[in-house]
Amino acid sequence: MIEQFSLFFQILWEIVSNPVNILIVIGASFLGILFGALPGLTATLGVALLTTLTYGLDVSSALLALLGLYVGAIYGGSYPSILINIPGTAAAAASAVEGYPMACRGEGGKALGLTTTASMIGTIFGLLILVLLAPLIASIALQFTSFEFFLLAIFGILISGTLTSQGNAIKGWIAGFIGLFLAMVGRDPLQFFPRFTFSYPELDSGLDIVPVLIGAFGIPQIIKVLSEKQALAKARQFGRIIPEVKAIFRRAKTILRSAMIGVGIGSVPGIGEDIAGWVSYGASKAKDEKKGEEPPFGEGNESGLIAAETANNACIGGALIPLLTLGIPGSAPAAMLLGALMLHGVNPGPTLAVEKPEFLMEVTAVMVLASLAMFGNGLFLAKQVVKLLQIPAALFMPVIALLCVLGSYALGLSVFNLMLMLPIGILAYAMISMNYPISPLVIGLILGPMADENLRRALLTTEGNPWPMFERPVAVLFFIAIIILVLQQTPWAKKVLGSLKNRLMGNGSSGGEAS
Amino acid sequence: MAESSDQQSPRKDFISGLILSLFSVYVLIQGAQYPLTGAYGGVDNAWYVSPALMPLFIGLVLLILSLFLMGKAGAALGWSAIGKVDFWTVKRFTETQWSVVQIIALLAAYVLCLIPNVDFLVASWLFLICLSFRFFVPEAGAVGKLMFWLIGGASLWALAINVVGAFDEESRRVLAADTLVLPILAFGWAQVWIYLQGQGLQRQRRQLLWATVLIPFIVVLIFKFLLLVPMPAEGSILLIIDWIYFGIRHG
Repeated sequence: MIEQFSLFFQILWEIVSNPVNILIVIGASFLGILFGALPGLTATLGVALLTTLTYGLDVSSALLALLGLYVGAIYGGSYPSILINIPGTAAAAASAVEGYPMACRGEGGKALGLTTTASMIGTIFGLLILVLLAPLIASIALQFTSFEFFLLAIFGILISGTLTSQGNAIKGWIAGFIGLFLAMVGRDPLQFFPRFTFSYPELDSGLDIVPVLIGAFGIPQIIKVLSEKQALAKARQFGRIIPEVKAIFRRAKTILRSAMIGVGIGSVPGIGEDIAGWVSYGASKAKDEKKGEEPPFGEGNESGLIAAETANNACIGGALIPLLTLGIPGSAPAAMLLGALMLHGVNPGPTLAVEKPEFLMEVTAVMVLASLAMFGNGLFLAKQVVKLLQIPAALFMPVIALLCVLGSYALGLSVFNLMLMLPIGILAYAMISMNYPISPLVIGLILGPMADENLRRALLTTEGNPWPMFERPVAVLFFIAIIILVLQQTPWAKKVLGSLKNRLMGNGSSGGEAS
Repeated sequence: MAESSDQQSPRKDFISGLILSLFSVYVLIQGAQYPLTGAYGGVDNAWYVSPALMPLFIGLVLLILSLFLMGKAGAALGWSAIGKVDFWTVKRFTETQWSVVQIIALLAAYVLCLIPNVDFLVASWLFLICLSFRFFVPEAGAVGKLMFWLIGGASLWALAINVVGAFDEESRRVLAADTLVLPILAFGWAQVWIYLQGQGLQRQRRQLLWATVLIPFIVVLIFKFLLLVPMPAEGSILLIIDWIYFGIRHG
């Protein structure tokens, strides 16, 4: 433990002793706040576009930039939520419910102070859990064989599809399997046989992740924001932003619960900060620990705001847990981060702890700096960010289109990447407009090679016999989880689960009454 | 009678399920053509290591899921209503749908026609002024339409130069494309300028100038000289910038 601490401080010192790194983290964090604050821009798009700019940097500096932006963007979404009642990112939607009424009461500065402090605490908490759990999960994952990795990939796609689809899991699964199909394009890794390449040599090495992700997240956003012509309201005035440490500590219970919810949701593949914010807000509303002491929920309740903001930032640490230990991104921005790490020669997964034992501590040190930069930027630069909120989308979205083009092109210096980005973007837009979620598609694309290679390798070792899979407890566990996940969506299983729940609830309530 | 959104969703699901089922059949057919047995590249093949295994698995799962989706949508719509679903009549676009078509057309013109063939800065300026002006000043109907005609013409010209022209060097081809695209850009900007001047929209004119000319110029300079990323096509403007930059650097 002491060794880990000294390693952490050593890495932290190495990073901060270079003034360029300090500038990078502050700049990236500010850029992140802008991406979060400007409605229409997202954390994922920000990470995607910044990936290109970090290509020439070393891994530490690149991580500083990318994580700085990620943390900043999740926090930055709260600005327009509080000041103009339009969430900058989906993650900050729950914050608008309580933040905007506070701003209307003239407490905009206080609301921003609360979100700034809660976001920082949430980030640090998520980080703590990451440091504690990652080595444990990685050591378990090292025992996995090809069967487990194949089933893990399928489980990741299915659970992401289930949780991100709005009521119709089949659509989420379809999106995931379209992602898996996209991952099949190129020469297969075992026999080098060309699949779905249509005789284009550019497709031999498969689809580049970065242009696909920029297309999937950037193009639909540009089309949506411009075509829907959302006019922004004038931002509410606010006073000085002061860190609300006292108010936060008075709600230690809310903070702890929200952070746990954030980390838990973040660690589930494919779902991220938006769901964490809502679930945590819902839990806080259900508990309502400060009833009578503060305004009711929906009218500027501070606990509700703190709950949403703590959870969405704690989600970042949670999303990094499966990313660093299993190579499975916990959220959409984490998927982009995975692509960026691979570009820098870092392959997240169970072997990362063996190949780069100090990497987890490096991420920890970077995250600490990123949350400090976010805190500082939040306290001192908020007024400047709010001024930029008034830029019309019709002016900045076309510039984002230019950045998407340059970002996709610059990584391979290939115009073909643009030919890839555009159709993927149009496909993603069509899918979104038909209520198909995009995150499972990305998860499918990322996990595709892992599923393909491991299924075939596993069957190779057993000469085509799948039964040894059921002799391995973890594989059986994943298999059962997949079956439950699928069966849960059938009407009769829903009926059985519903009656079971009713019976349990009935027993619970009668038990409660008895006691 | 207009359809309600409740009816629209299963209808969309049914249509997307149908498209997906056709796509999954294609994946299955294509996958079945990959080597399942025999030898490929000197390696003996078996079904369980075949490159066809995963595509067949994906195709099969996608087919099952899309049939389920169609079944669910059919049940929600009522099976008798499915036969009455009109797949072929193209309905009048709503304003939002029309905007979507315009954005996609502009992106396609930029990515497929202009970027590979025209100086990147010129292509970007033309694309940005068309896109920004259309949505920033939506009331300028006639000038907005003119901008679409201009970018359409520029794209056709750039494609024609690529297909018909025979040039020894790429830069000559790009320069040839620029000879018409640059005047088109200048003409388009002049129209925008005159319109905004006429309407007394000085502030909007300044904002457009920043967003569609100066910011892209700075962004391209950062990518080209700071990140050392050569642009997809370098013609008139970028060659002049190169000449000035290297002239200053090397005296």
